[in-house]
Amino acid sequence: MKTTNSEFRYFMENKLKDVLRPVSPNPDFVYNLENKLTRSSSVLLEEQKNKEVIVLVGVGLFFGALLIWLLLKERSSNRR
Amino acid sequence: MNSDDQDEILNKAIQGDLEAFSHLYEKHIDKIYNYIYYRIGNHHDAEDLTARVFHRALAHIQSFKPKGVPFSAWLYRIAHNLVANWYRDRSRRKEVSLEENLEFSNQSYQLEKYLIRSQENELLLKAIRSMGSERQQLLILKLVEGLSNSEIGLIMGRSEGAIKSLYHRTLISLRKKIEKMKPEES
Repeated sequence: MKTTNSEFRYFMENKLKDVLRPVSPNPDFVYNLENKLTRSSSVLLEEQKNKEVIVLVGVGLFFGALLIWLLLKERSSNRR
Repeated sequence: MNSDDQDEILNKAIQGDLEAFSHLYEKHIDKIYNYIYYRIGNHHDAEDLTARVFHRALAHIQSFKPKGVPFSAWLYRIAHNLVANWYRDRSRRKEVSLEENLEFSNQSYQLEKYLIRSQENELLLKAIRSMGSERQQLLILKLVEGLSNSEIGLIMGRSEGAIKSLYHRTLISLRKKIEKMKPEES
């Protein structure tokens, strides 16, 4: 038997609400994160350092790949 | 707390007042955590990403414009982007879908822990997990967070009408998926 749209919607929403029940984060996690955030200066410096490292590694990889490509190109032109 | 108080707290936080930011954190932590948890399916990574959301929010709150989207929508957008990055990083290491992630995650972390373990609910969960990320996002914002279509529209960058229509299509799609799954289950 087919249900009407509104009946179906009501049924589905109730089922979904039952399945997707709100969860609570661990209170220790909530407390510790709040403490870290309110001591933000050290955290922000740390994030900044990470960014610099990522940029340096990225630049290094780029030039490394470029060098290898140039060497391979040079070698192949010498063979010809 | 009335809306003037909230505006004042937000303005103070934008000016770098950590106590004001702390108020905003306490107000939104549960919602952001829930959103991330239901998107990725385990508590460990949900804690990690939730922490990143608030660190990022704190780092960039000075660029937040109170006249634009609501602060909560701004936080959800940060969370959405971090979840997308999380899936991208995981797929680079190994192709793992949301469904697989939930299936293989530690039992104590599984979504099922929070459910009535009826066959119908499990079927519904399976159907939800098989949907695209946008539809999962919509279901979480609407049914876990209890947001209105207009609020969801602000977060997802769509009109209220588009969200209403997407929600309708999502429910129909869920019904079809469940109908397809039922013969397999029996």
